[in-house]
Amino acid sequence: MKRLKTLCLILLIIFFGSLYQGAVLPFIEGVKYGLTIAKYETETNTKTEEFLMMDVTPKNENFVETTEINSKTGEEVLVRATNISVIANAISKKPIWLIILQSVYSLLMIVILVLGVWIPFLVVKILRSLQHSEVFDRINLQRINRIGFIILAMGIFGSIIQTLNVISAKHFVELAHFNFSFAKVIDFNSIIMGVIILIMNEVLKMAIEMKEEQDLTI
Amino acid sequence: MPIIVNLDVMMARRKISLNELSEKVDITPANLSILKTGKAKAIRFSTLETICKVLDCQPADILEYRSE
Repeated sequence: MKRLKTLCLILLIIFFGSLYQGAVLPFIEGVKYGLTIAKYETETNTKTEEFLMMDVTPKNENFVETTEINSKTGEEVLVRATNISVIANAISKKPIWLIILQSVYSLLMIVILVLGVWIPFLVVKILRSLQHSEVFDRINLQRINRIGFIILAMGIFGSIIQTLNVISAKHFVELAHFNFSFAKVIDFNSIIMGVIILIMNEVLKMAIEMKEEQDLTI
Repeated sequence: MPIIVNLDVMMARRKISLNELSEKVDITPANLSILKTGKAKAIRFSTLETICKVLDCQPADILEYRSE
C-alpha cells in the first residue's frame, strides 16, 4: 500500500507536469500568437482567415534558414526551422471538401477536449477506491477500460486532426524551401499507451475472475 | 452450471439445520449457504469429506451432474 501511494504521488506530479506542458504552455503560446496576428492585421489592415501551425522539412537537406550566435561560447551555430506558422489571407473561395474537413476537425477537437477532461475524474475515482482497499472491483475494471479507450480515441482522433491540418496547409500554402511534413501526424505514444492499458485491463479482469472463483471456493 | 448441489435435500433427510452443520463442518454459515444455494464455483476435497462424514453420505448424494 505504501508503494501504491508513492506511485500515485508520482502519477499526480507527472499529471500536473503534463498538464502544464500540454495545456498551459500551448495556451500561453496561443495567446502570444493571437497577439502577433492582431498586430499584423492592424499594421497591414487585413483580416486573417486561416492560421496554421505546421511541422516542415527542408526540401534541400543542406538548406539552412539562418545562423545564430551561441551566447555561451560565442560561436556561430546553424539554425534550421522544423516548425513554422502560416498565416493565410484572402482565401475567398474554399472548396466544399475543405469546409467539411474543417467541420469534422472542429467536432473532433470538442470530442478530444471532453474526453481529456474525463480522464482525471476516472483516475481520482480509481485512487479513492484503492484507498478503501477495493482493488479487485469490477467498477475499477470498467473505469480502467474507459481510460484505455479514451487514450486510444485521443491518439486516433489527434492523428486524424493532424492529418487534416497538413491537408489544409497543403491546400492553402506552398513554400519554396520547405515541405509540410506527415512524419509526426500519427500520435503513436497515445495509441500504444491506450492499447497497453487495455491489455493490462484484461490481465486485471482475469485476476478478478480468479479472485471471485477463490472467494466462491468452499 | 450442469453440476447440481443437493446439499439441502441431504440436510432435510438428516434433519440438520444450516447452523448445526456449519458448526460440525467448521465453516461459516455464509459459506455453507453459498454451497447450498449452488452459487459456489468449487468445493475443496477436505470440505466435501467432512460434509460426507457429518451427513453420513457419499459425494454423489450431494453433487449431481445434469446435462444442460
